[in-house]
Amino acid sequence: MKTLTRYCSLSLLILLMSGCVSYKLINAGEVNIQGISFSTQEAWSQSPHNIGKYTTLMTRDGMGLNQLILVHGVPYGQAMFDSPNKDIPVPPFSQGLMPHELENLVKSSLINTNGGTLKISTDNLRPMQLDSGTGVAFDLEYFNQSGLLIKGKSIAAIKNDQLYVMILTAAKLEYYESYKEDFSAMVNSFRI
Amino acid sequence: MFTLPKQTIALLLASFALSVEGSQEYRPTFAPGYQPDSSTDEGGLWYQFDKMEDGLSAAPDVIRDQGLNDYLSNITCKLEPNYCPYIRLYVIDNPHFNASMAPNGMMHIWTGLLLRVENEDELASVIGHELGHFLRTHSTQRWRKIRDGLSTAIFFDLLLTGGFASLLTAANFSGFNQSQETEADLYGIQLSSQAGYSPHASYRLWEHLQDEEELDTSKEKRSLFFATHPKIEKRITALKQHASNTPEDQHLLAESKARLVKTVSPFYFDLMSKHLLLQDFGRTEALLEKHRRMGYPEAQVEFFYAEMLRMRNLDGDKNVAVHHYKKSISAENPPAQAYRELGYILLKTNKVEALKMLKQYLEISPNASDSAMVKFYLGS
Repeated sequence: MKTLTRYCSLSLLILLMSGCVSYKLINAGEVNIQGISFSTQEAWSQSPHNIGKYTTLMTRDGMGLNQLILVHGVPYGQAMFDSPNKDIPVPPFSQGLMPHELENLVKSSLINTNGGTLKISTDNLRPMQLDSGTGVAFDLEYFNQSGLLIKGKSIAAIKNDQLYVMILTAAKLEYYESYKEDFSAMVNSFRI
Repeated sequence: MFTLPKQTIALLLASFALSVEGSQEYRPTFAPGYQPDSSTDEGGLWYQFDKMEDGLSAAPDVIRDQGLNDYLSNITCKLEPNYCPYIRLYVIDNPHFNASMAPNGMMHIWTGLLLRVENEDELASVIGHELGHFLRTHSTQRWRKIRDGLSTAIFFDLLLTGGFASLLTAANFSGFNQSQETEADLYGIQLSSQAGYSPHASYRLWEHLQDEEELDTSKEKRSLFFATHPKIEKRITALKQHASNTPEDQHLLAESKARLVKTVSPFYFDLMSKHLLLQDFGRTEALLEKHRRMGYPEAQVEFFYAEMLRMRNLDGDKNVAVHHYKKSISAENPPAQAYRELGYILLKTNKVEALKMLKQYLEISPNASDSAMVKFYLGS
């Protein structure tokens, strides 16, 4: 009986603990997270997981189909994401980067946090004027490990010597086409 | 008393074994056009590969350029004309070094192989090696061995080892065995010699790969081909001995190199751009030195040298990168990106020169998708 009670208590504890780890609804409209604000026409679900201590992950239909990655307040010498492969570490954010160099930083960070397996191509690099200074926006495209074509948009900027990034991606088939106007609006409303 | 180190004795024995095996003529184990009965285990295996091949019809990483595919198919047909109609070749856009052949006649050649061979003879030696595996049905034999080994291992797992036996079995059978590799090597040499290719190409390729491997800073990232093939030193010694009696025609070799460079050059910029994403800077440097010798377009080789240095970004790399970007733009047909990257890199040290380069980039590529970014610097 004593063993049964112990077993039930443990099961209850595990259930309660798993209840703590859940997605959080982010409503459509003006969103403000860790120093980044933007407006979105549709709701997002914020994941309890992340890919680095400066990141917040969100999705609408499932992480494999679309993702919003927010990178907030990365100081000099730190990387945007965790490095799963020590041979190709995610590059650190370094002092003195010019706006166009942020594109390469975001691109190689995404490649390296995926173990170097993605062949990401970027396009349409352009400056974005923000209150904090000049950032950059660009489009990106790659095939994921299942062979699905992923398209996306990103914006990156520096404020008070800290890096802020928004990366929006979705499977081209169906999802990117449906969300691309909202993605553009989110990039254009990005503020830090 | 003089004694030979153990490793040398092993190499001598391997060379002796090869020279003995080398004297025999290899023949295919099946007739051209062979199709296994679908009710057999082999038929089941072919079905799986057929399904995999169907998936390639829409795969994004298959290069379908007719010229490149014809070039590789012609080499394959020259090596084995009788079986050529039953072989389907796919060029896989993957910057790693690899080639493989399935029992149903599906051959994969990865673009990383095209960047690493120095002439058509070396390419033919790899294709010949894969044909050797195919014609001697090594894949089917290996698959049967894994299947039988796993059945026994599962039996032991159930009784005794709790999963360890099947794990060990799977690890032991992850590649062809030593004798199959040796057989494929010798069969490959036989096919390439009959087709008029130099047998010396077989070990030269491995020597280049060994050089490249030594320059790689991360020894953990061995290529897939290395991971499934025998020790490279052993292979070089054995193949070298096998080819030692055949003289090499330097004129034919120069023609063979010219044919390869001519065929791969239209894809060079794209292939190297993808190779750079691997961030294997030591390997890239070795590769670019080789491409420079081979005669790939100088402006592109210098551009990628500069790009490699810019990405590596060790102390002093950016200064050397400037030198290579300048070499690139002074060579014939420089890529527009060389002007842009030189402009960007000079922005911090020589703004006047930088703006000149950025202007030139826009003159060459007025509709570049990043023109707004470049204009931002020109206007600031």
